[in-house]
Amino acid sequence: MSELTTCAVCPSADTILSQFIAGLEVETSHHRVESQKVKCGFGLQGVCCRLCTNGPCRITPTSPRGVCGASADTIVARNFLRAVAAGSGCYIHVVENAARNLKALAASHGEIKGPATLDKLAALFGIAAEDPYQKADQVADRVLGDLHRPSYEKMRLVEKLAYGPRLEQWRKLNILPGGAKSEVFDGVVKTSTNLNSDPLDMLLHCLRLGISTGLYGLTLTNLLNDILLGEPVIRQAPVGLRVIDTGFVNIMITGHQHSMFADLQAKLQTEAAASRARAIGAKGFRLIGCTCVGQDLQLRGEHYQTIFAGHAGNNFTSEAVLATGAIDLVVSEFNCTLPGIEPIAAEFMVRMICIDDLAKKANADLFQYDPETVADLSEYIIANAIQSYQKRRSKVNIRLADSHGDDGVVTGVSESSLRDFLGGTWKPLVELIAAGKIKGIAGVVGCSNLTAKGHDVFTVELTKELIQRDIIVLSAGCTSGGLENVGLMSPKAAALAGDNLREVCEALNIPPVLNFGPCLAIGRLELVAAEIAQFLGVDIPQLPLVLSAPQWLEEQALADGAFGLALGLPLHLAIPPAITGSELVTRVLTEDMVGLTGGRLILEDDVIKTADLLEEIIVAKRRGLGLE
Amino acid sequence: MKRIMIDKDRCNGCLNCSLACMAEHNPAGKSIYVLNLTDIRNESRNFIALDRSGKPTPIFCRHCGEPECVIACMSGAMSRDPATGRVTYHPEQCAACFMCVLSCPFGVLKADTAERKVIIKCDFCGERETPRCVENCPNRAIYLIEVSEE
Amino acid sequence: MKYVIIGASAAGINAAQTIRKLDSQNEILLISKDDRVYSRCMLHHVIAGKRSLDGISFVSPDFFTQNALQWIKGTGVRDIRFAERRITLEDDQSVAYDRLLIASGASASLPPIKGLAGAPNVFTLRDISDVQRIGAAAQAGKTALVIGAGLVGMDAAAGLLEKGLHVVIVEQADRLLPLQLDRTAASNYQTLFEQAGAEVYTGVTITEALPSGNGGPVQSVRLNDGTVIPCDLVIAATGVRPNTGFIKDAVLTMNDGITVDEQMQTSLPDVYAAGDVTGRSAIWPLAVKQGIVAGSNMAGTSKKLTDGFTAKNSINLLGLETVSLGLVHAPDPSYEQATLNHHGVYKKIIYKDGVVHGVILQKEISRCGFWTQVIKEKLPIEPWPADIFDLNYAAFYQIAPNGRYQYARAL
Repeated sequence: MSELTTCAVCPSADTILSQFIAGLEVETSHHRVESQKVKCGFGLQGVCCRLCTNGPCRITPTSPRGVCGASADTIVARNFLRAVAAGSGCYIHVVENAARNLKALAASHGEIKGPATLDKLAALFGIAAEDPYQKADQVADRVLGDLHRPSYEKMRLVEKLAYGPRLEQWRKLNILPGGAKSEVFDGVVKTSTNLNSDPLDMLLHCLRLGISTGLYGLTLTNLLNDILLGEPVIRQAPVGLRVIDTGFVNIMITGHQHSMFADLQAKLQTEAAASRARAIGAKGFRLIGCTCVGQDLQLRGEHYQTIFAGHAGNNFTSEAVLATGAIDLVVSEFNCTLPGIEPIAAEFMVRMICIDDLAKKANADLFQYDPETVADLSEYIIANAIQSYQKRRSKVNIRLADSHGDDGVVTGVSESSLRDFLGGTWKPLVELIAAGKIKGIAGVVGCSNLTAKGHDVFTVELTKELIQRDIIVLSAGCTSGGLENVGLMSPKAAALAGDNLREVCEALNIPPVLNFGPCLAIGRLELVAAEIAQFLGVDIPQLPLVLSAPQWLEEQALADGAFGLALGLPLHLAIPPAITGSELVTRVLTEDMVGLTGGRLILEDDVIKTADLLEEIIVAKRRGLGLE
Repeated sequence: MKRIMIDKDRCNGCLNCSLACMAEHNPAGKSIYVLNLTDIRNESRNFIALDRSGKPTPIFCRHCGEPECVIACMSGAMSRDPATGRVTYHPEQCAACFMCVLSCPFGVLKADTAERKVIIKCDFCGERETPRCVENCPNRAIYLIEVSEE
Repeated sequence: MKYVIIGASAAGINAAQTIRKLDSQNEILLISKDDRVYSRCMLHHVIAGKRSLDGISFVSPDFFTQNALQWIKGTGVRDIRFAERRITLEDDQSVAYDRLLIASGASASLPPIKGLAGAPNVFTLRDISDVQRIGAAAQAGKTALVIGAGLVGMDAAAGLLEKGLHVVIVEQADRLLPLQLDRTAASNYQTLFEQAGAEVYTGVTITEALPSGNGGPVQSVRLNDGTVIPCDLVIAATGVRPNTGFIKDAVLTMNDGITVDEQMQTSLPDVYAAGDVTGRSAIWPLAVKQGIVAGSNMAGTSKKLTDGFTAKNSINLLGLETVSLGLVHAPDPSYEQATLNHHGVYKKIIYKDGVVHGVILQKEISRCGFWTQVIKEKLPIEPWPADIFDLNYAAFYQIAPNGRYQYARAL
């Protein structure tokens, strides 16, 4: 029992959401920030070691080593590698399922929704087959083959996916990854009790995991999903709690594995499904997007307009979405499905179905996803949604927030749709950068947390600072959920940009903050970076491009970050990872990394100072390219 | 005057109070992230000891009404402010005779580990409304109470 | 109502402060030979050149104005006529009192060694004038002979070493600091002092100072084993006696000093005594406490001295710190002893039937204050712990509703 009773909710950049949450009867994460505000300093600094029964050991001036003799450097590096390995594992799981789904699609001769992407990948992988299903099958096999290699065998697609100059650098540093799953396994073994104590070896392992996470978990997942679900198409769409219509049977989806919903989406689009909904007095079915899987669906929303209501919000919006009372069923398949939604689901009589046991929720019914039985799964979900709708609608109070969110969000941005929008080449963008109309590019990406000034507060404030300085912002992850709900991803946000950037945005009718969708699409940003670098004939670290994951939340973000560092990009975090207890680890990641990959971690908890720093880096890189 | 009350049963020995104390008095800055946890020159003024059954016991300066450390001090370095009840240490005045260390009935005081020249003593976090140790206790094992001057 | 306090050191100053806290109205007058307030325990820092005279004051510069105290300084008391409640000062002033505190302290006395008395280069170390005279005589390179290796002698020796003199220490007991330390702890200091260039002679006495009897300076001393030690100056640190010379009126009961009860009252009503003049207090904290008790009772708030514990010493010489409490040696074989001697850290605990009677801690004295309480109160430690040196206040922890720590009897 927590003693602290408070009605206070943490601040949010999204004031309408904040007011909505403050008025709820149920408790949410936003309420719990207060009662959890006291943090363990050893945990924050990463110097708590619980690897054996002599522990937990903590580092203090009077106890500078653990019982076993582990120094702060060893303890921090071990904890950090363990977190990166877990984070990498999450993404690798996601890409593995996407590849399995592609293989199943090939076997069942289903609809290939993104043939252009399939052809591109097949060509890249050197696949000679003509038949699209053979192509799909072989693409899937190549990916799965790499993922399942032992760690002593290098993955083969790295050579095809990585940008040339980067690949050379990685080879030099001896950080080309072996089989992605095995690298995760090794990371876990290395960090077990009294194995690896070498902080540098462990940090290099983090970079290896970063590369496998980035190229496979991030980049390839998007491309495989493009084949399975259709490529993103730029369009305008509504976002926020306003997308919820009580007239429909509403299914909220959470997680990261969009391809698992391909069959369900197809089924819901049928007349048969619609008539079943009408039979119980509803207008039809609607999928309510939440967390990254919602972002991804929104990205491809062009293909699902009749059943996709829109993206309601990011991870820390999900409790509020459920608390509207207008959701009839939750289908979850991966993370960012907060345990906090469970009591709310119970309160509002919302059935929860989990379709991947890796992310089994305590109060959900598990129906394990399997490509073989996907039709049964879709039927199970539809039937449960109907049942739940009938059972609960007369019994629960519904409380909507129709003013929440925004109507004109520009979505569907990807490396391909953006290039097409620019006329099939990066030239116009490069010219705008060269002319100083766009000073540079900032990827504001990653999660949302409640501790960097509040829900999305740092993300939104930093983004506003950057666009004011004519730096165009590309966003992917829960950051997008926050930025779009406060209107920064709609064309009208051009008014908030600096004069030069505003002019560009108004001319093209685009917002100054481009919405790439889910965190997986961080991979797309890195494709953009590689393509622009190639266009200019330079290496990625030379680009006037910076990354910030201001409100990173979790282990996956650390694996993403490791990729960013491997790519040689400066990466800002508002809250340090648990590394500051080791001077060595902190120095390597924030300083010495520049000499290894060109990247570095920037730890800064002040918005203005962060913007100053990122702008400084961009200006320096422009100078390096002779643009200043 | 205010005093830090202690509910020993609620202490689980997490040492957050000690960390908070070190961070608050760190010359390099007050953020927990800039605290060098291996720097012996920055010690906590409070500490957790284990009692004879191994239970963690928070030992914090009481800012006594009749402070033995002040009585023992022959240099004028220790003084009690009757208005606030705080017992304050002035290192520049101290002669490092350590009579206060020997006289504190509860063994709270010690000399600094690095140089053994000054006393490590709670200052109630100076201007702070609430001492940082109190703010940082996750279990409310330490909390402020108002007491009349003894 | 007029309070008069003779003496402005630990006892007198604390008495004055206590009276003022309890009585904001009436006049308080201090009379002292000293013309400034300073800490005697820090005089050797002035010799060493580490502190100025202002730097050894133990009160703030505005102490007298802040507490509205009158002060006649730089003059001693010639006589007190108790029946008339009147004091005559050495400068012939006459002062009346209603309540009197005698806190006149003690003076250093020379040992009865032939040739010391009257020699211009023989000093004691008790007050500022001593420091000034020593300072004039003590130039670097000269040899200073320190007679008596008690706290004062050792402080003086350390101060002179730091000033760059050659120092010879002569002690009749078998070790340095014999009242405070056992042989091990003392020998650690001896090593340290010898490394710093001092010569140490223990277990010897000085038979005479040479040349003797002409009133000229002492040039050497002869020991009882015949050794002759040349020297340029001599510091005698062999003991003090209470300053009671001005009390010619036999109505006041005397013992080693002025006899007092628990309330620091003498045999006369309204006459109190505190500090070294009582002959009972050898340490600063006790003088302070006596001053507080006396002041409190003088101002009409009854208070008793509950703590007469004097076997409590902390020593910090040449960067080595030691504390010592109670017995330094086990008096007989029925006592047990726990010792630890490791990397220059020395600890010894003397106990019997679970009660601790003596503690010596050298080089590691952190958080040792609880031992004072344990020894003073004879708190039994049951069961006896596997590692007595790990004991700390947590073993006795108990807290009152107002947040004061207490001592739990049962462990």
